[in-house]
Amino acid sequence: MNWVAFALFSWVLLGLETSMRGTLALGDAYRASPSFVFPFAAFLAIAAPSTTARWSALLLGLLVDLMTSLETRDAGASITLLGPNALGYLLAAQLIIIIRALLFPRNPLSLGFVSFAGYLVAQIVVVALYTLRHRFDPSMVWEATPELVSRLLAALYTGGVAVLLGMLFIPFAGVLGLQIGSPRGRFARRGI
Amino acid sequence: MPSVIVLLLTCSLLPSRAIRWTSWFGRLTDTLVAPVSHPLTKVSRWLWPAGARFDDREMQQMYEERERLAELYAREQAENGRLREYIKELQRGLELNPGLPVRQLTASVYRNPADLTSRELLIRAGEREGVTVGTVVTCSGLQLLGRVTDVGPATCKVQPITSKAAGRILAQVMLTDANAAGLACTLDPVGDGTLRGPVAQPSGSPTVTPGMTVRLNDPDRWPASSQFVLIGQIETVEPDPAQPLRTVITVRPSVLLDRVGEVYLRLEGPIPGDAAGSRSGGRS
Repeated sequence: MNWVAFALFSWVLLGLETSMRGTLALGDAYRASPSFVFPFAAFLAIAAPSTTARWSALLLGLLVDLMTSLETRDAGASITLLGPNALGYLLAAQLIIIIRALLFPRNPLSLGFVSFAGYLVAQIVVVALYTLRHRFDPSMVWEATPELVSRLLAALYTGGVAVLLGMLFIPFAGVLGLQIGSPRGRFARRGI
Repeated sequence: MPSVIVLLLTCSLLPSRAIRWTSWFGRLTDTLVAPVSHPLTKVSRWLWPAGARFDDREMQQMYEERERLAELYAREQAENGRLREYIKELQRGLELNPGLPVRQLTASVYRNPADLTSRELLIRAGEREGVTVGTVVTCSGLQLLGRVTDVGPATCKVQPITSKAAGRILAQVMLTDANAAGLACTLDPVGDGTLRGPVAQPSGSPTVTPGMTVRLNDPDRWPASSQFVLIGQIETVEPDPAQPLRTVITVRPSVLLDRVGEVYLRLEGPIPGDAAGSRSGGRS
């Protein structure tokens, strides 16, 4: 993979994520907004070699963690927690790597589907870790059930946005040093 | 890879005081992403503004001027009453503390958090401009936005009043714009962009109705310069489920606080490097 192109894409998508999430948020009680970074991680999990896909998902999750500050009740101080999104993205990437042989990688709908499923898995990990932390750090402002509902809706929203992003990512696969849609496995051996 | 996973898992569960160092890396990432997020935030706020958009700039200025005067008038009325009490105290030999000068700094929002768990806004103004933790922040139409919770050299984080972490605020339901008379209420952020709480209604007091203005009146926790700033309008009035004779109100800010593109920081004290303290700052 071309890591310079990866860094450039990550930079732009992180900018999009942090500037558009508040604006595109839907709902009052359960706020849902799409992720722009996760579809990129899902795209890499579909198209990149397994090890590269895992490391890039971990890196992207880590960047999301760095851009997230959790509010606490301690005089308004907030904390930057490294790990929940990184681990969530990693697990989601692993899930996509397992199922990618069944997908049509050149179809943006495939990216939409794996982004929905993967983001849901990633957010379950995030909610689980935050909830675990909240058990011994009550200063954290955290309620698991509404967060889980919001994140389920956000996963649907992300899936929709990923279809559109897929139309952008697929033509740029070459720039990222990926060969998307090339024959793999037994089809490759038969030369199909 | 397994060691990285163990490290991240440990980091996720370490106590807050042990992971303070991570905020430095957070700020660094912020700085790197700001050249992309800031223009995109500006575009998104322009496309989907926080509240009613005034086509006419002059009209917006007049609206803000009207709001400023209403706030000033209510504050002066309350201050008048307080000074009367002080005069009585002074006559008993107590010293009156003069108020600090307040200046307003305009700054733009450059990003939201990457995760919607937090409602904090990140602002392009920091220690260099004299921003400190606790600085009061308002937005379009002089709507109270919140307080600064963290300050870096060039940026700061603002916790909106609608964030659950912001906690309770004391406010006043304004019965009329003509004077500072009103009913005291206690508001807690609900988490859906509104604030909710009971109103103290002594017998014979006027009825609270939707649409009434609610202003800040919390001298113990908020600075004197921000008293009577607009919190919002009453959206619903209903009886308290636990005590039916008491009234509970839901207040909605006049703008969507997480979509605000430009804010005003109310800085107290003299301007850094300006002994006269007569200049007003501004940056967007």
